[in-house]
Amino acid sequence: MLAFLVKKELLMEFRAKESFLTMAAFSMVVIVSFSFSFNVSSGRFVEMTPGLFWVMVLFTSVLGLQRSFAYESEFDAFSMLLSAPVDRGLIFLAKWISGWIVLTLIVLIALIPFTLFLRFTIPTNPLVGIGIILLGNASIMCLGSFVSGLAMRSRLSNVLVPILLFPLLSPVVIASVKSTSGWMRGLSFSTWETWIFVLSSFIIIFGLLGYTLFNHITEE
Amino acid sequence: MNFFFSNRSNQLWTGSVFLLMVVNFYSIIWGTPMVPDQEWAQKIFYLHVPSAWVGFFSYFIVMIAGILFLSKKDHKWDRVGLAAAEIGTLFLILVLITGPIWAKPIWGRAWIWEPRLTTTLVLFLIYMGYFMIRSFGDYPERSARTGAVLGIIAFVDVPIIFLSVKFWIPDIQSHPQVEMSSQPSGILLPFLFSMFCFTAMYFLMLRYRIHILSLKSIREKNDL
Repeated sequence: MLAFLVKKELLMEFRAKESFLTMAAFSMVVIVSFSFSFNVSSGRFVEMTPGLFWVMVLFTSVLGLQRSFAYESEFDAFSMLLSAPVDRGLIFLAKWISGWIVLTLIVLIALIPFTLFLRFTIPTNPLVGIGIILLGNASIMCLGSFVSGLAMRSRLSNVLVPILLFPLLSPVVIASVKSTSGWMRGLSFSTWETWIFVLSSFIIIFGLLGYTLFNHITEE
Repeated sequence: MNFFFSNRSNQLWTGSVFLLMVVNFYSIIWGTPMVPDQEWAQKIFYLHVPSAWVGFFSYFIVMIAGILFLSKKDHKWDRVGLAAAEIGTLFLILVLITGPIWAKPIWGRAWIWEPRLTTTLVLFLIYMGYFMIRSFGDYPERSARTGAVLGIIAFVDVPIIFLSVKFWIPDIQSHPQVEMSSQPSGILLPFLFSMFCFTAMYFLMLRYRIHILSLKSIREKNDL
C-alpha cells in the first residue's frame, strides 16, 4: 500500500511538474542572489558555502511542501483520500518519501549552478556528500511533511509552514551544515560523526512521531 | 457566573503568592550578598533562572496536556495546554529580556549564542507559530488537536536543539547557573526560595487562566 501511495504522489508531481519546475527555478534564483550578495572570490567565502547550500535547500523545500498538500485541498480531494481504507500514517510516509525523492532530484540538479556560480569545489569523495544530502533532505521532508499537514487546513497555511518549520528544523540545519563542512574540508569522519548521529536520530524520532500523530491531525 | 476570587482557596492562594513575592524581592535586593565582579547585574539571576525553570516546566505541561487531550478527547486538557503555553511564553519572554540585561555588563555583549539561551529563543519562535496556527485554524476542535500535536513536537525537539547548539560552537561559555549548587548559602538559599516563589506564582496564574478559558468556552457554547 505504501508503494502505491508513493507512486500516486510521484505521478501527480511529475504529471503536473508544478512543484518540480518552481522548486528548480527558485533554487536557481537563490543561487544567483547569493552570487550578487557575497564576494565569491574572497578566500573566506569557501567557509560559508555549506551554510548557503543548506539555506538554499531549506527555502526550496518550503515551496514543495506548500504544494504537497495543496493539490489535495483543491476540490477537497484529501477528504476522499482519508475515506479510503488506508492507515493514515502511511499517507504521511508516502508524502515524506515522495517529497524526499523530489527534493533530492532538485538539489542534485541545483548542485551544477551552485558549483559554477559560487565556486563550490566538490571534494574527491562525492558519495559521502550525496549521503549527507540524502540524510539532510530526509530530515527536512520528514518534519516538513508533518508540519505541512498540520497547517494545511489553516488560513494563511502558506505563511505558517515556514514560520513553524524553520525553528523546529534548527538542529537539522546545524547538523547538515557541520557535516557538509567536515566533508568539504576533508576532515576525518570521527570529527563530524556526531552530526550524522543528530540527523539520524531526528529522522527516527520525528518519523515515528509523524506516523503516530498524523492520524490525529487528519481527523475530520 | 463563577468569579475566580470569590473562591476561598483562590483568595488564600493569591494572598500567599503576593506575600511570598514581596518577601522574595526584598530578599533579592537587600538579603543577598553583592558578588564583587558582577555587583547588581548578578541579582538578575534570581529572576532569570526561576523564569526559565517555570517557562520550560510550563511547556512540559503543554506536552502532557496535549497527550491527555489526544487520548481522552476531553477539552479540559486543551484549556490546560493553551493556558500553560501562554504563561510559559510569558516567562520565556522574561528570560529573553533578563538574559541580555545580565550579559551586556558581564560578557560585554547583549547576546551570545549560548546553548540554553539559544534553545529558549528557538522554543519561543516555535510557540509564536503555535499561537498563530491556533488563531488561524478553522474549527476550534481542529485547532485544539493541532495545538496538542504541536505542543508534543515542540517539547520533543528541545533536547535535540539544545545538544545541536551545544556542539555547534563548543567554546562558547555557559551560563553561570550551573555553579549555583556550589554557591554559599547566602546565595543558594535565596535562589531556591525564588524558585519556589516563581513556581507558586506559576500555578496560581495557570489556575486563573484555565478558569478564564473555561468561562470563555461556556459562553461560546451558550452563544451557539
